[in-house]
Amino acid sequence: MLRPAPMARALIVGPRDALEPVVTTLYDLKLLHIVDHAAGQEDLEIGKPLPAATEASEILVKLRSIANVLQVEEPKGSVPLEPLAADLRQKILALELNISEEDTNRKKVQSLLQDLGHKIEGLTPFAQLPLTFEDYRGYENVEVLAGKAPREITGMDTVTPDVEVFSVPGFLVAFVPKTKATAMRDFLGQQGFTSVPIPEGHGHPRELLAESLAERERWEKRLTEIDEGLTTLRERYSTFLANAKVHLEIQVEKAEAPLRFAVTEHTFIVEGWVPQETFTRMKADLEKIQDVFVSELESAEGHGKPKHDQPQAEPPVLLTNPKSVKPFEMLVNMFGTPSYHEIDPTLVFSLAFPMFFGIMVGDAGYGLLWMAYGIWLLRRWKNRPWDFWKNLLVAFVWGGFWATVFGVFVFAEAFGVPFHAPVGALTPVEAYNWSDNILHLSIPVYPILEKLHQVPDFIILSVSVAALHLGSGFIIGVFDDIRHSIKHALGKVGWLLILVAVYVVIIVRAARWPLVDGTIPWGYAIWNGPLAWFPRGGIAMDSVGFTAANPIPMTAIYLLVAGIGLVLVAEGGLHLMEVFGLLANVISYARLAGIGVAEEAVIFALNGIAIEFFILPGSIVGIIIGLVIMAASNLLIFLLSTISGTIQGVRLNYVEFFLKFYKGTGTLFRPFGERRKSEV
Amino acid sequence: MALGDVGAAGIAIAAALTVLGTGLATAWAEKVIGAASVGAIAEKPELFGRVLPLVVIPETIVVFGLVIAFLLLGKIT
Repeated sequence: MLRPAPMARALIVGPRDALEPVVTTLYDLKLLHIVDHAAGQEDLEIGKPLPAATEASEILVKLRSIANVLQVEEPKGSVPLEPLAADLRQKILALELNISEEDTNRKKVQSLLQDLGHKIEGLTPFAQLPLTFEDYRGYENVEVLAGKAPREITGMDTVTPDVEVFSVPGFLVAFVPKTKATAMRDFLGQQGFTSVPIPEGHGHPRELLAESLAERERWEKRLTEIDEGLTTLRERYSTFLANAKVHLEIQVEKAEAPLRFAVTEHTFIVEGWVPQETFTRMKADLEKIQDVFVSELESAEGHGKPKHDQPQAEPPVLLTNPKSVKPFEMLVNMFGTPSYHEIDPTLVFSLAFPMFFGIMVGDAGYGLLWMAYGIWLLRRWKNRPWDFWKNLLVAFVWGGFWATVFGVFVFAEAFGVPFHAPVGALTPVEAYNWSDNILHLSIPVYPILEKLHQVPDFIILSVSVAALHLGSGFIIGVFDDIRHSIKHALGKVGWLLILVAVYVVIIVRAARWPLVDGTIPWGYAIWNGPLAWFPRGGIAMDSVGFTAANPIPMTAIYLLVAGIGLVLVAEGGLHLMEVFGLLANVISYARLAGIGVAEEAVIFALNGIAIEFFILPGSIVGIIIGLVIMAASNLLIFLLSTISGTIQGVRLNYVEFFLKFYKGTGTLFRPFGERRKSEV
Repeated sequence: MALGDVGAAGIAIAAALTVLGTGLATAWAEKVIGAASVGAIAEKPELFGRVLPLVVIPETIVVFGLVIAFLLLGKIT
């Protein structure tokens, strides 16, 4: 669970005749992560694609163009692979011929329709005037100006009195003497007139327009027919096409596999990684083929630490997390796949991320809502492949679980309304709660942290979470490093000591934060509870708040010095600057409190408006308005807290946690034969 | 140490200014990083995971502001 599956490096050698059966067997086994052979390496060339490759890729190209014309979409989920007809090639070629003809026709009709559209647009205004085409032509001394006039144009007779105008709204034709034409054009131009060409034709434009409209109708009918034909084809062939595509892609991948192998004149060599436990199975299956030999070059586990002079010897990583943790691999891989030689942090991530989400959301109502919605959606998505959203949804369900736990037992509230009236509530609106006002029975759970009244305590809770989270990071780092360098591991131990010292100092200082409403501050409770074992007595520094009763513990100072000493020896003086970085990281967890308080404050204010309606002796209408306000504001905060809870939860893990120890430089194990969704 | 009304008001204003300043600083920093990140993601969508933490890194500034503000407010009571 914490380590990737052990890998064995396999070498497969065989005669060239055996190439095809070996590829087929490997593809069906889906066990070997092939290491690509580079041409010329060790004086060996790469192989040539199998003869089937050319034909298969050719048909695949045709098929993709058909799929494009028919707009066949990649089916969601896995395609049920039906047995395909042997005459796949003929069938696709025939279909292509048929469809490309239809497609050409459609394009032709479309361009024809476009031309007709322009023609009709040009004719329409002329058809409204009582003039025939002949009236516009054949003048010696008269010029015809026709065009669009956005507004009514008056005063044309100021240019010349010899003007005859025909107009409909937005359109105008003017007959002017040639000598005045330029002046008239300028005048009209100033009024926003734009001239249009006069269409060719005989008789009245109205007749030509009617003719064109009829023609357009005919062609539109034809286009619908073609489209209907294509739709029928799509319906009939979409399953076939999707199937054929998968089939061909597999064929192409198989046929092109030799490009990744090394070949000599008569033999071929395949190198790759296979999970240790399945090596014997693969060997047995492959050696059934005549003259093929499989040997184990090295067991990656055997040589222990990575050899830096052989970077290509790094095995691919197959993570081995149980089903409940698996969805979180996606979020870890987004940062980087664990390298083969380091501990897989997914398990810690799968605990920390939902808990952070839970602390930030911290509301039983929202938590239950996420759990209910998430589980319902997961049931609906049963057949959906494990993509980004499905993995994230599982993370949300766990986040909802922790939000419920924290919402009930720590914050004691649901939908922003507390289980019991908060201490020091002055008005009925502030005191509104589940027990007295809604359920009328006393919920036997009381808050141990009221978000709005105990902000310092909330910050202390966050800092304590930081110490645990970062501490586990350093511990994982120690175990990672101890395998290849004791010195580096000691450096991590040094950081762990510094972290403990910093945390203790913060808690000691917080132990005497002012009491709120007579409650014991969390700093005090932790210092005298879980940290009671820590040796007391030390240096008092009144100016920064460490009184004689609460001095900085000497032991913390010793730890700090010891930690700094270790870091100095193991990592060098420059890294000491990072002590301040660590302090910043610890305080950075205060965002857990910050977001929790901010969201509570907003929902408290919005709920307050709604509660006014409930409490006032009002009508049923008032209560309905109140309910609507409450539903809307809760939905808003539900979404906002989900977004910030996710982003900040991921961030605390990526930035504060992972950067302490995690390298994430591995490559994922991708066995030959495992199909990924292809990009068209 | 007893604070007068004026002293308390001064501390409250200081707390407000702390949150205001750090908030503005965070916004400005995220604006710059966000713009650059969107550019990077447009080129290589798989960088999303690497870029997201970079964008939210400056949020630490405002968290510091929040902590300081509460430390200051603690002095009033």
